[in-house]
Amino acid sequence: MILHIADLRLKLDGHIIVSDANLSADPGDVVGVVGPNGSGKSTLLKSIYRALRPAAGRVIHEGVDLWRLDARSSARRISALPQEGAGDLEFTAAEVVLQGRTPYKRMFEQDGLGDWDIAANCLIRVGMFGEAHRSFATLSGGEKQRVLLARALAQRAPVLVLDEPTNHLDIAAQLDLLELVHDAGLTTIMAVHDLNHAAAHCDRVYVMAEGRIVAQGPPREVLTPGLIQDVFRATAVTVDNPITGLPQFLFSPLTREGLRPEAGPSQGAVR
Amino acid sequence: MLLVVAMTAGISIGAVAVPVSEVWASIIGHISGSRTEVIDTQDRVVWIFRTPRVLLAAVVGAGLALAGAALQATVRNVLADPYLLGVASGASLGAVSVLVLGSGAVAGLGVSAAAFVGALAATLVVLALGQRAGKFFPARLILAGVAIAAVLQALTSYLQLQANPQALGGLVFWLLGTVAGAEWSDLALPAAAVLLSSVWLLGLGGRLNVLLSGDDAATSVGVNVNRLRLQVVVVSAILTGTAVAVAGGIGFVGLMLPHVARMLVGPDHRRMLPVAALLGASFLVLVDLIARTVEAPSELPLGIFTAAVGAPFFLWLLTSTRRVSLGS
Repeated sequence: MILHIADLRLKLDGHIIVSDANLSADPGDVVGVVGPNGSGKSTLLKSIYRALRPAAGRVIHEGVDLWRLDARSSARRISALPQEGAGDLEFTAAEVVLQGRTPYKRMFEQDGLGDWDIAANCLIRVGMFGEAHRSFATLSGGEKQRVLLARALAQRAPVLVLDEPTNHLDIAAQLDLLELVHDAGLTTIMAVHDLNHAAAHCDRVYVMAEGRIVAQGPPREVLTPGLIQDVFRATAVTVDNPITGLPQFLFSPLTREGLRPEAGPSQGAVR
Repeated sequence: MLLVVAMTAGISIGAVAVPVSEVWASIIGHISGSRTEVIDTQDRVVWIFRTPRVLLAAVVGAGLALAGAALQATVRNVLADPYLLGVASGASLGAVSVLVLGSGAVAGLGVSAAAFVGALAATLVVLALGQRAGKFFPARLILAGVAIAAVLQALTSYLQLQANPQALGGLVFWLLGTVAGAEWSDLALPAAAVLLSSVWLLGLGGRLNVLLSGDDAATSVGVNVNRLRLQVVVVSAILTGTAVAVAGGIGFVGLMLPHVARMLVGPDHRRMLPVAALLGASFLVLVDLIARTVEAPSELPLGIFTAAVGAPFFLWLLTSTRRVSLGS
């Protein structure tokens, strides 16, 4: 267990947004946080990358309470790709990635050869080395996310936190990005909207509803039609993807009575 | 380079023209110690009158441009300037109180001291109003600054109406800014303030770059956003308070010169901040030169020319630039 969240309570403007949250991740695990809008996913993640100080509880990385560290030391342990868009930065892709070296910099320290080396390496890993000198503002949405991922990787932190990293990306860009996150091999905590992504890319998922964690475990065991109906207010059937063999959810709205319709003629494919 | 040329021109040209060679002969002579006393009229003009004045203009211009550049990044707003947080209106109220009511009414402070105190007091109030639960929010800071500035300006206007006609001329002059009558003894404090603040802000350049990506992103790479904001606001208030205290309310420099610097060298604060400081210094030296030559021998306030000369130049630059932003 490398990262551990214990009895966390988070408040925004005096309102409790998350309560009694417990979460843990083993080294190299990709942990998904799923839940409907407003369930507290982003807020929970913010307490890990220090954007929101917990009202109670602790965030522990390798035995150290992150909130007892200063921002720089914490950023050497936790890197993040927050949800807010970085917009149209006028910096080049390489300059944006070099910003990931900030936690290692003293006040007047310039970027050294070692920093450039790491930045180049991270750009190569996300397949953006060829665009290193392009202005960030001119990149496509998918390319921007990959550069921001490279910035997070340049932090050389063992834990990576991502808040819905595939938002607004086209299908190919979504799959690319998730593949890159997976290949990074870091302990990853990722808020995911798309349950199919969660099922395909997460070793474990935590399900949040109204500020509480209501279920956790391997996606195949946790994301059942019953839970999806209770938490997401949608009817789901699960089929196996004929190519990947992974579970795949097909959604339809809840019926008026809130009941799941009986499985139809295709019952053979439905688990 | 630009600054050296501007300063040489600023010292050389004026009611008494001094050749460039004599300008440098005089300055080098006095600095090296080979001239311990003023030897003739030209020397007097250069060393006693113009050099401190030009240096003060440079220091004030650099300070305003730096403060503007740093504040623009801190609140992520292209319209931010050194007077954003009520600094100038606080300073004006302080100075005008002394000019109208007399120094006795303001705890015996002189004009400059009252301006500085007013500037810092206004900043503290804006900081107090711009935070919530100890956290500073850009929009809150801007709105609190605008509101406080309005209140202070109302008070200043009221005081102005109470002023007798003789005082009014000097008052308007002060409000629009001037470095006339600068002496060597006026220089030490502002120069030290600007030098220290510049070094401090330059050290924060990398962090300001990251802040352009957003608060959360900056936090995630280890920047204590709240502390950075507080630092920049306080340093900028000291810079601006000093500038206003010694030279009055000079507009435009702190708003536009940072944008000029960005257009020239890009948004990286580690490059842009020094360039903005040099541009601000050169610009104000040249503006001061114009202000005292255009209707020589009488002088005009700087604020008129920073706007009248600077704005058209800036608009020309603006139309020839592809895009304008802070870099975000």
